[in-house]
Formats: sequence, structure tokens, C-alpha cells
Amino acid sequence: MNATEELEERCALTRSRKLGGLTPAGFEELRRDVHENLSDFIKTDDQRALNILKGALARYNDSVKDDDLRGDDEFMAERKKRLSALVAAAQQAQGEDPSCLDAALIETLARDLDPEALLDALLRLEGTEEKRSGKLQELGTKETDLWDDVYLRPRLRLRAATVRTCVDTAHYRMAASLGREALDVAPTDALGIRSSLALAYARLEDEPAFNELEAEAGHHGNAWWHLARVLLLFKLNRMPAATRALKGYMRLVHGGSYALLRPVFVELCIPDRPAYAPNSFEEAMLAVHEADPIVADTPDFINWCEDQSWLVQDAMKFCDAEGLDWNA
Amino acid sequence: MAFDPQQEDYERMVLRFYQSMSADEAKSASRRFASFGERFAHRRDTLPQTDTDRAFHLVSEAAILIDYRLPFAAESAANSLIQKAQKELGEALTLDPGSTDASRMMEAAELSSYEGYFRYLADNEQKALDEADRARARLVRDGAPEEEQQLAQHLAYAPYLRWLAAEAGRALVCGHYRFCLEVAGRALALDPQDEAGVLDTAAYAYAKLEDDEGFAALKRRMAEAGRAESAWTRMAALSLAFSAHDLDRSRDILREILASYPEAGDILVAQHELPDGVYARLAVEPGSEDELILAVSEGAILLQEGRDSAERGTLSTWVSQEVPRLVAEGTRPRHIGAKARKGGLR
Repeated sequence: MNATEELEERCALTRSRKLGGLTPAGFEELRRDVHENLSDFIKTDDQRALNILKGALARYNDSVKDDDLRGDDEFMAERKKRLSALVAAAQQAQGEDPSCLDAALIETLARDLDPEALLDALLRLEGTEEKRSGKLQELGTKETDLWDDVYLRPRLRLRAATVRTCVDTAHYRMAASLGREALDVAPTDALGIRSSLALAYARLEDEPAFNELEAEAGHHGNAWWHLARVLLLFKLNRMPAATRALKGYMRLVHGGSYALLRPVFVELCIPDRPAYAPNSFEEAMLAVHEADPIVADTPDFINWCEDQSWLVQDAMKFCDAEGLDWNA
Repeated sequence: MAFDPQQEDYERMVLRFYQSMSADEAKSASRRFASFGERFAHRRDTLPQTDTDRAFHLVSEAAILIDYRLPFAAESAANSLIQKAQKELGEALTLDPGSTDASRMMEAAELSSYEGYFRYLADNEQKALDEADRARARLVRDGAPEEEQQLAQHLAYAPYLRWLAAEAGRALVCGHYRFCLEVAGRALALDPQDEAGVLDTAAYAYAKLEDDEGFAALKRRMAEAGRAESAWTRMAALSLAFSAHDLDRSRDILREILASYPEAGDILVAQHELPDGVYARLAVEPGSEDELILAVSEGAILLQEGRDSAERGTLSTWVSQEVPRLVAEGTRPRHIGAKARKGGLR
């Protein structure tokens, strides 16, 4: 979540409404002004709340960056501390603006609940929001993308988190239908809901839905897609095709082989996935982490991957080049 | 819905005995059968039999050792049981190299990996069918009485049905759910009464695919075949309701299970995993404690999915937490009733 950009957008929109009749060029100028003197423009409760979240998320993400340098105990202590700080900040933000959905979402996620309890909490939030401002699928119009309205983005973030949690807790059809509702009103899919759905359809061995979603996405793929395709074909027992897909995953996803064979702990996504470059190693680690329950449900999938000597060689090469530890 | 190795051994010998009679002898078949049971039990070698029959007898003995005795054997006795069973299977294969039961059971005992055994079954399925077709050619006599033909047909294809049932079961465990349904379909086409019990396996595949429609069709099919709900269909229904996050319905199904099976509460909390039958799924009484134990054991695939901090799987954790609550809820009204009577309502 780029809280700075969204806060600036909100401030500019508020000021522009006040001024009235700004040309697009005039609005752009206002936008620059807001960017340079943000604090002067923060006037409303929602902006104050978002400003608190902006600072809290920056501190949280700074702390996450240094995790590699920490020992186990230090990491656990730091993690607990930064999550509590985020909960406190989110509560403070809700003090400024009780209807701040991003704050409620961040608080819920930062509580580090058991995934099934998290799903319950997110569904309760969905219910509250639905009562307050209507069903997600009825908020948009055919011509616009919900994401373009900065005030509706929190609803999409909530939905994306719900869908990710559905996949995490093995509620796959639910993930697919909740994800579909969001994609119908926000097809640009800035939050990568399709990536979650690719995993869900792979697990459900639903090849037609998988292909349809891929055609709709029309992009060059990312770590989730490349990995989901391997899983789908393996599960459908189409082994030559699965082998080809695994080669594709290895070629297209940087360090993908290593990420798959040497999975690591991945920190919670609060409130959404970090903006990693498509097919980067970071993205691969996240995708492998999100696919983990599906991989575990396919007990010999990893063994089969390990039987492909070219994959293991590629992973070891990556490990050497990056100075990582193969036996860690 | 299960294969009983001893019964099948008996049936094979009955068929052989009957088929070895001349036309004249067959007219007084019932008199000739009078001593059959005693000879089968005590003087087996005096009955007509081929190497294939002798091989199957060894298979049935090995099946009893591995599937029915090994799980209850002391650890010290386990090794000698396994060795004995393997020796019997080895002898069976010497007598009848085409014995699909013996070769399949040998492979299962090797058990290099889930996927390895699955792949062996999938890759050799056609051979198992060819072998069954050859057995049919040997056993089914043109113009024979209907009853004899049916028995011969049944005995010819039973090993192939066991093969398919094992293959469907392994496909399920390995996460090849649609493949599992395809194999189950082939078994049902040959065995509409589902002696092999693949409908129960298929119920789990539909649950894993979260396919409510497929599951509903399966239940209709079971009803048409005159079969009641099984512990498998109930566990599948539970999994489907839980996957859809319908917790009220999940609780209702749990209540049904608790009311339908003895010791259900303990079984659902313990969720023991037993080794799968190597010959075939163990024969259990419908509605019995054993049936639920088996369905819960095979149900690990439904229970143990999804991330949770207990690392048990989301449904597993939910069931183990919910069952004690439902059991307490179930006993409460009786308790209140007893108190009310004590209070002098009478």
C-alpha cells in the first residue's frame, strides 16, 4: 500500500472540491503542491487517520527490511514489537476516524491471528462494511475501475486480504467467488487477486477456469502464475506438460528454483502484498509461501521437483551466485 | 462394500469344484457339495485346483496377515508377519506370474513413495485389465448356468477392481483428484454395485474439488444402488460445508455423525491414521465404530489441509475443538431432564 500517494490524492481531491472548477492541468499543479507540502493540506479525520497509518507502515516496513540481520530470538522480539506498534497505531487512527477501514484491516492483520480466526475477523469486517457502504460488486459502474477511486481502495484491499486468507485456509471456491466479485468491478487488479485465484484454480484442478482467468489477465505472468501452472498440470497427472511448465517457471522466475526447493519464512502482508517486481526472487519467495498449503496437499510434488536434476542444478547455481546457504 | 479374501478363496474353489464335475455329476451337485466345506477347511489338497487357485490362496493368507493381523501385532512379531506374507506373495507369483493381486501387494509393501506406488498402478492398469480378460476367458464357460457365469465373471474381474480401487485411493492421497474420479468411473462402469467401494473414495475427491454438484450426483447414485449414507459421505459433506465456511451446517453434520456412530466423539478428536489395506480397504460393518475409524483415517486428506498454528490443518483443528462442545451440548438436556425428575415432577 502506497499510503503517501493515497493520502496526497485524498488531500488534493478535498482541496480541489473546495476550489472548484480546476482544469486537469490545474489539478496536476495542486497535486505537486500537496506532494511538497503535505502536512499543510491534512485537514479531515480520514486524512489524519491515513497520515498515522502512513508513518506506522513506514516504520513497520523499515523493521522488516532488517530481519535478515537478526538472530532468531532478536527477530521474534522485534517482530512482536513491530506488530504491537502497528496495532496501536491502527487503533489511534480509528480514534481519529472510526470509519477508517484501512486502519481496521491493518489492526486485524497485525494481530497475527491463526489463519482461520483471521478469516472470521476479515469476513466480519466485510459484513460491517457492506452494511455501511453497500456490497463491493455494487459499488462500481461498468465504465470505471473501482481502484481509480482512492476512497474505495480500502474495500479492495480488504477483499484481497480475505481472498489470500481463503487460499491460506483451504477455502478455495470461496476464494474464487469472492475474488471474482472484486475483479468484476476492478479488472485492472492492482492488488493481484488473480494471482491468488490462479493458485485456487490449480488446487481445484479447474483448468478451464484457470485458462479463462489467464486470458482475461492478458499479462506476461508472474511467479504465482508460473508456479500455479506447474501445480495444475502435475495434479492433472499430465507429466510431460508439467515438466515443461516447471522448466518455464525456472527460466522465467528469478531464483524460482531456489525459492521452491528452499522455502523460507515470509512475513505477513500488511495490508497488501509488497510491490515486488514481477518474476523477481522476492516475488518467488512470496508465491511459494502462499502456495505452501497446496504443495503440502500434493505430498510428492516437491520430491518430483527434486528429481529434476536441471532444477536442482539451477537452484544450487543461484544459491552460490547469491551467497546463500544451501543447507540452511 | 469390501473384498473379503477368505470368502473369495472359498468362491474360487467352489467354482473350480463345480466346473470340474461332469454333466452327470452336476445333476447331483448339491449332494456332492455336502462335504465341500469340510474338505475346504481341512483337506484342501483333495479339492480340484490349479496353480492360479493355489496362488490366490496364498494371496488371501498374505492379505489376512498384512491387513488384519499386522495392525494389531506386537512390534516384536511384526517383522516375522511381514516376512511370512512376503514369502507367500513370492510363492504366489511363482505359481501364477499373472497374479495382479500378488504383484500389486508386493509393490505396495516396497512403498518407495506415495507417488511411486500411484504411478506403478496407473502405468500398469492396462496389464491388470488384460489379465482379468484372460481370467474371464479361462473361467466363464459358454452356455453355463447364469449363476455360474456371474460368479466366474466376478472372480475374473475382482483383482482388476481391487487394482482400480487402490489406484483411485492412491490418486486421492497424491492430490490427483480428477484422475481419481476417472479411475473410479472405470471401476463403476464394470461394477455398478460398487463392491470395490470406489464411491466412498470418489466422495472425498469431490470434497477436495469442492464440487457440490458432483457430490450430489454421487449421493443420488448411492441412493439408487440402495446404499445408505456411509461414514465417508458424511465426512465428505462435512468437508464441503466447512470449505464453504458454512459452520452451522458443518456443526449439524458433526451432530449427525456423533449420533450415528458409537464412540464417534473420541474417534473424531483422536483422528488416528491407520495404514491402508494392502489387499483392499478393510471390511467393516456399515454404521459401526470401525467404519468411522476407517473413514476418519482416510479423511486425513480432508482434515489436514490449510495453514493453522497447530499445524494440523484447518478442519482437523476445528473438528477437535468443536466435538467436545457438541458432545457436552448433547448430554446437557438429559442432565436437566434428570434434575427435573428429581425435583419432584413425578
